[in-house]
Amino acid sequence: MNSSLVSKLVIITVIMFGFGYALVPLYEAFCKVTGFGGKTDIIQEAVAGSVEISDRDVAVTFTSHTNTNLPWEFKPITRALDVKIGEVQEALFYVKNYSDRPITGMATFNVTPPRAGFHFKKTECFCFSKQVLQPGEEQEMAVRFMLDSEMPEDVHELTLSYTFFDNEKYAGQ
Amino acid sequence: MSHAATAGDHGHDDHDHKPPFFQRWFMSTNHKDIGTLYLIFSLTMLFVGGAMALVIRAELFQPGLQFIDPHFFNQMTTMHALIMVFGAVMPGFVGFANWMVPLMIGAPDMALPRMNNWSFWILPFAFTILLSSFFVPGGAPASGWTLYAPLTIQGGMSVDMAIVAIHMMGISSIMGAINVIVTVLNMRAPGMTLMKMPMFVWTWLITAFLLIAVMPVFAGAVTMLLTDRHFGTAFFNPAGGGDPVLYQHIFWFFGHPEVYIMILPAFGIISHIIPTFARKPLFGYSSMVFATAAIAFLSFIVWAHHMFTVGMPLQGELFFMYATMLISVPTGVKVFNWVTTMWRGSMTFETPMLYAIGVVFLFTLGGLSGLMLAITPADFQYHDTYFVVAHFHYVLFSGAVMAMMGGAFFWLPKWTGHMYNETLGKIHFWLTAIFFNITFFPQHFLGLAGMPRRYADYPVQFTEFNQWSSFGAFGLGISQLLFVYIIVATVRGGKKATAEVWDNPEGLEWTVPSPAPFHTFDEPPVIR
Repeated sequence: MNSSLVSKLVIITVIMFGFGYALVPLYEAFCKVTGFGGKTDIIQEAVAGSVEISDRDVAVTFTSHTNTNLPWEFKPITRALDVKIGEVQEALFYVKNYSDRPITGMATFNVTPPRAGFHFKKTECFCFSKQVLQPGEEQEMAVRFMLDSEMPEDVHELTLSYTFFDNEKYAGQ
Repeated sequence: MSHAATAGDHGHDDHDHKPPFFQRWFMSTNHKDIGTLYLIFSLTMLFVGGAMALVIRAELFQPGLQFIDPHFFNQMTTMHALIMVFGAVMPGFVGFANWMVPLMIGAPDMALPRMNNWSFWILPFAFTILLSSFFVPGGAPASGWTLYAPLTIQGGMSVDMAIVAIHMMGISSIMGAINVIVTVLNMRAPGMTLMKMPMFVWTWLITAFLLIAVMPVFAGAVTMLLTDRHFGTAFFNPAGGGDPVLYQHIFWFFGHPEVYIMILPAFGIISHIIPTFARKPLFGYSSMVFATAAIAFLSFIVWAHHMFTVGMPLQGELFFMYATMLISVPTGVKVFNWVTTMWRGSMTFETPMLYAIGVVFLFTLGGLSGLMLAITPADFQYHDTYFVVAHFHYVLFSGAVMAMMGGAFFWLPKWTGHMYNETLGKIHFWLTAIFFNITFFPQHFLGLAGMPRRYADYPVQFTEFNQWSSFGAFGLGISQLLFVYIIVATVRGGKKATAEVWDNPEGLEWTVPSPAPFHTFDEPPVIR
């Protein structure tokens, strides 16, 4: 009698250990569905192009940072844009590797206010993949995006922020 | 030898045969001895963690840096919390459970005595590892007891030592919890239905379920930290696509039930002391049981109130605010039941009763500041200030720790067979209660005025309240030496205690002689 109860309780323990790990994809899914944490959405260029353009304007500001471990310069070329709802726009960023070795970087992003993030749709972004810069190499990197018609009425301005991280540690993956 | 063999064979006629010292204390499978070991361990850790608190308070006696550098200060706050939570409070309650649960349900021992031994003996090793992290390069963990990533992804090897120690104590408390559940569900005396169980047993049963539900989640969180640190995963490191806020969610999914793990058994102890000294049965027994279960359930859906300021959607903040406030309903049920138990009772105020009333009063104050913190917009001001520090010390010290002290005085005659010195006990209560309030009440004002937690220094306008607080802390610390003196004196001698000890108390533990013999309830008792 004891041993069957003990094994049930051990199974609960193991399941709860797994649940801790299950929180990782659950959280990811939760953020994707709700836009929590300023996560953005991805759509196809063709779909984005076929959306009707309204005359409502939203002021989009671009900011950028590099992690202290990454000897790159990273700054927005396009500092701000007035974007109409439904219109596909492009913003450019400047990146330069100041070190004497090739470095793999990866950019993370978020949108403020977070509730606007879900309605910020990217069709193309340098943040989708790892970027390798040779020593001294400089590049312009682009993000193409649109704002969908569900964008909350009271959002008149939003900020898209990027942070470049050194991805060497994870380069093998 | 032959005597020992016979005693083992038909040990019923030789109740007080005890094994030799080494076998008795190092290889014990006896619930009472393991309970004693847990309680001694917990008291030792109370002093270790308390000494760290005094280092903190000494540094904060004046603005500027006096004694220690800020990095060591952060190690002190981190280790103080880890030791108090995992070394003092949790093992303390497991000690009470070991001693009292079998006695209260009429069982001869815990269901899994060998595992019981194992779950205790993991702890000294876990804490040796944790404490020896002071001596590695970079010193002990200094990230706060929450070990928030990404800061802990960067720390030195002390973080790894803390992770290993947490795994070990997690295994220990999970095994302890499994033991309690199996004991309670399988070993109750015939006739003791679930709804006839003493409240302490009920609160521990629910606590044990909380433990096996959330300790593994915490183990998972620190394992992710470990693999992020050494094995190239990126759960929490944004450089690899991870999310630091995720750590906070997983941590507090564990962390909030954890705070109820530390308070529910205290509620159980109080629910025994108050009826005894009010000489009335506990008011609203079944509502107490359901309130405990409701608190346990709600503890799973309020975790994000610890992180209102991370930038949550408004709907999330509202949900967690209302869910948190909802907890005050079952908690209020319990407080009102205790007060109603006392209402028109023939009350006397022996030391355990003073502690119980002190806990009801001071815990309720802590609950009130908890409600203030639960208000999301207000929390943006209170978050990470001394207001939070004051709040959780009101619920953890004057809730959990003082309930354990009251419980220790309440059952000490049963454990030792001697009455403690009542005058000294009362003096200890008043010293503890008064110095506690001198220490922590001013911290409410400091927090409201904007003094942040976890800093070694502060602006001069906070000096006076900090001096009160430091003065109180040293008084509180020194008063605890009296607690040790009373316990040692009671173990060594004193007036003989009767089996009942108190005036007609309720419960099976009072039907066995004092001190409780080495083996009890070899024959199950009859439940009326």
